[in-house]
Amino acid sequence: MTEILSAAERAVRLAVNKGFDEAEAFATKITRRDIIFRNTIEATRRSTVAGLSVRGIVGRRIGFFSTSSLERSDVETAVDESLKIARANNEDPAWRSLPRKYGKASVQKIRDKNIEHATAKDLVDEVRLAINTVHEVGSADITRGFLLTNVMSNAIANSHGCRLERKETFAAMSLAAKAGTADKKGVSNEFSVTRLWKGLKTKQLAHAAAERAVKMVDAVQIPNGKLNTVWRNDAFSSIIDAMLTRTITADAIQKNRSPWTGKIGQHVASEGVTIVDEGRMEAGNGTRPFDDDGIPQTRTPVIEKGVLRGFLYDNYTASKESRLSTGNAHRDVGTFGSQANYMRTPAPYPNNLVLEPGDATAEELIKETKNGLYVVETIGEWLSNPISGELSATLSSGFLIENGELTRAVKGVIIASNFFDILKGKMDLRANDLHSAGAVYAPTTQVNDMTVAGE
Amino acid sequence: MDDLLKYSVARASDLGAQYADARFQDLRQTLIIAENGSLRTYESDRSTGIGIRVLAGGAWGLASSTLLEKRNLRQMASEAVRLAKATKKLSARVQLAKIKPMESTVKIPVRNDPDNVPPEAKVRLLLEANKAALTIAGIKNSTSRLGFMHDVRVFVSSEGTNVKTDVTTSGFSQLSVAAANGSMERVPEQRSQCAGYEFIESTDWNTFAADVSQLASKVVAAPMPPSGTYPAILDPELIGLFLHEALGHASEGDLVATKESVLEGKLGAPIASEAVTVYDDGGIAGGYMVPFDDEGVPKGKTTVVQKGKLQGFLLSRDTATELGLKPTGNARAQNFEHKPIVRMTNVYMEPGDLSFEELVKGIDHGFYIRGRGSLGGQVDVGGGTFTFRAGPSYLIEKGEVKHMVRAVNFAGKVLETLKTINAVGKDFSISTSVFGGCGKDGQMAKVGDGGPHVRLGKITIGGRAE
Repeated sequence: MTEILSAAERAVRLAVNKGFDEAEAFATKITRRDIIFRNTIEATRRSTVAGLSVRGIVGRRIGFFSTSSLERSDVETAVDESLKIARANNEDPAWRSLPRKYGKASVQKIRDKNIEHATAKDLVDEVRLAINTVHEVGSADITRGFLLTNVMSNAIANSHGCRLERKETFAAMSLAAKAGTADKKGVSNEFSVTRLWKGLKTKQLAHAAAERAVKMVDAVQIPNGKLNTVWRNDAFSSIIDAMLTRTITADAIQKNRSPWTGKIGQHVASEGVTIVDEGRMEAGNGTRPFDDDGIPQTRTPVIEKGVLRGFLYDNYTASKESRLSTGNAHRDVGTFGSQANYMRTPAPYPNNLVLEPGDATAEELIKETKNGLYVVETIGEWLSNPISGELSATLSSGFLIENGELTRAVKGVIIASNFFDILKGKMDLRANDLHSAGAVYAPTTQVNDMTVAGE
Repeated sequence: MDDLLKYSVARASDLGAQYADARFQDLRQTLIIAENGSLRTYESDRSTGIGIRVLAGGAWGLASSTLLEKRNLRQMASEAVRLAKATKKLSARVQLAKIKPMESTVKIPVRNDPDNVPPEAKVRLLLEANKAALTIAGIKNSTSRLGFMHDVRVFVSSEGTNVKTDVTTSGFSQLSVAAANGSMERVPEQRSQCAGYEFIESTDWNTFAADVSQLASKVVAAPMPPSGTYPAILDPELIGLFLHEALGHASEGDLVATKESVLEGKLGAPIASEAVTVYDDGGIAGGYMVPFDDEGVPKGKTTVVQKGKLQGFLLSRDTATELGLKPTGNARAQNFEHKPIVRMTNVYMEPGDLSFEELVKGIDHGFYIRGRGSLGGQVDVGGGTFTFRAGPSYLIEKGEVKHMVRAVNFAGKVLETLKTINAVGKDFSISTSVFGGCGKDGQMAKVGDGGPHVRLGKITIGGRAE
């Protein structure tokens, strides 16, 4: 048995001995390595953190305390503090029980030995590849970059005799490049996060960053107006993330903070739109054999052919409606092991939310659009309002589409629309290039008739 | 603890590090959330750990862990040296600006330690406020949070610096969701202070929460503003957010050293109108207290812009060397695990002498943009584009504040917008948040910001009204 699983089981036993009716312990160990670089390497880091949380229930009163130490005395303190909180807490009439059964789904490619065993030299070599590729393009420089690997193990155990463990890996590369002079500068940012070392695609990423930085040197503003747009896959995945991930969860529905309440079975999008949470997708960033409640992850349709089909549940929200959890309990929301996940209580969140791709290529979409705007990078899209549907993003990198071709670089305009309107027929043309910058997978997508605030 | 840190630093020096430091952190955090009249979660955490940072062969090596045993620290010290040296030819040739070694302990005064307040009292107060917000007509969701953070940091370096900081922060936040005519709108709002539970006890949170609900129920019926470019007045909360995004980030020394920032090469040059004077200050009342940074450098008051001229950058020891300037105490790390990077502390604008009415009179057709209910902002430092989301705001017509408009995003170009500031008010306030923070390079930092009411000649509004 691993150190974290035995610590979790010990914590559960201790909690029951001290008077909890039910108890659960969730333990984490993360080893992170990263390199921070520009055109040279500034810092290399290795970090190992561990921790454990105790969730205990006394007569429908819930307590929770976490600690970064697995030492017996600190775990005992966590149990005592958790008990103190439970006793101070109000009774939760909706509380049923912790899961009485855990389960593991069969999932592929969420753990890579090349990441687990990567040496400092392997990381330095990958960074060298990024630096050299950017310089091959010519006049571009790297202004900020990092390469990161995470190896994360979790253990969960409860007083109903359940216990499980899992181990997963992540690698991520981030690059900011610049070209031009102090007064006329072009910049670009590229990012990828993946389960597998080879999924980093460093050369491709570095090439894209360098090339676009050079093109952005001549970026212009454009006047106010209405334009058809094409969003690169990762930019559109950020839009879906901002507009859907926090409102299609069962807690948002149950607590009246979602615009989707009471709309199951209704046509909320055009027939061409299907959005599914694929909890077992091969090599998916959010794929895990079981969620943070110990429930197997699965496939949950959210919107099917335009019809709202369902929401995402964890154990607590599911038991409130006397139904089964969809295996969407998360203790870290979209941080891919960069934050210790044992510190939070579980809440429902998408595993891999997938917007079904189309069958065109991204180039065909641009050609088809004829005149409009190609959106590559935005800032502030996360400031949009998923409750009112008001979507707004500030373009930091994009291109005009003229006669079906990418022409002048554009930046600095605000692009706005209502997301609920977009779903209903303004985003029916999609490419076949599904990609993710986080928990949402989206293809390059044409979005028609957006308001552009410029000069 | 000091002995363990000194041992780690000495060990790294023995192994060939030119410089070494060790940081210990003991962080306690509590977050209590009530939603729609019942308690949702009560989470409490205590995290401790040590991070060792060494300079060897011209690059940094870092090792950090939650395991505080001496044997482990010994391994970490050698791991850090090994990692730094693995960089070899690609090393950045980092050089540290000289500082005077310091020994000091600073504890921000706390009258009533939140950890000593019984959980029952916190739950009672939170539930009451949460329910008060539900009494307003049209409110569908009320989410209230109490947050506490007690951050103790100890820093020891091979140069003999040994400083301790001890900062407690407390706060309350309210999010209200209103519905009317098939439309929904949400308004978030929070208040925090570097203080203990006495801050929570000093405010009537029932009224505060109900006021947020009032605003939500009003804005859900308000029209969208048009899109385009308009003159505007920003309130103290928003001028703080604006300066943080538009100027603060661009003045961070690491971004200047890589020539990424739009302020690169502009030291001494006019970058804003003459009405603008901006500071970064680790000790301003109302902000987040940063007596020392995570390199053991005192964080005093740095003048960033003086009467429109760029006066200084925010610097760590290595970026100070690169730019040939003096460190300003702005090297901050999220926690013991992370490498200190250049961060703001509290960025604010010096007040002027105009009343609010005088500011409004100068606008024929524009907006009064409010920070209350704002969600934050973001900047593309290299491209020089910033954006932020305002709270519910107001139309200004012929020198008078008129009806409310819905919250939308605003954007502009850093250098252009700073030059359009044409009048500065005489009021002043600064705020911080125990709940949020500023994200950069994967790290979060607690910051504060503020200033007076300020009038801008031109800012882009991303509305959708026809």
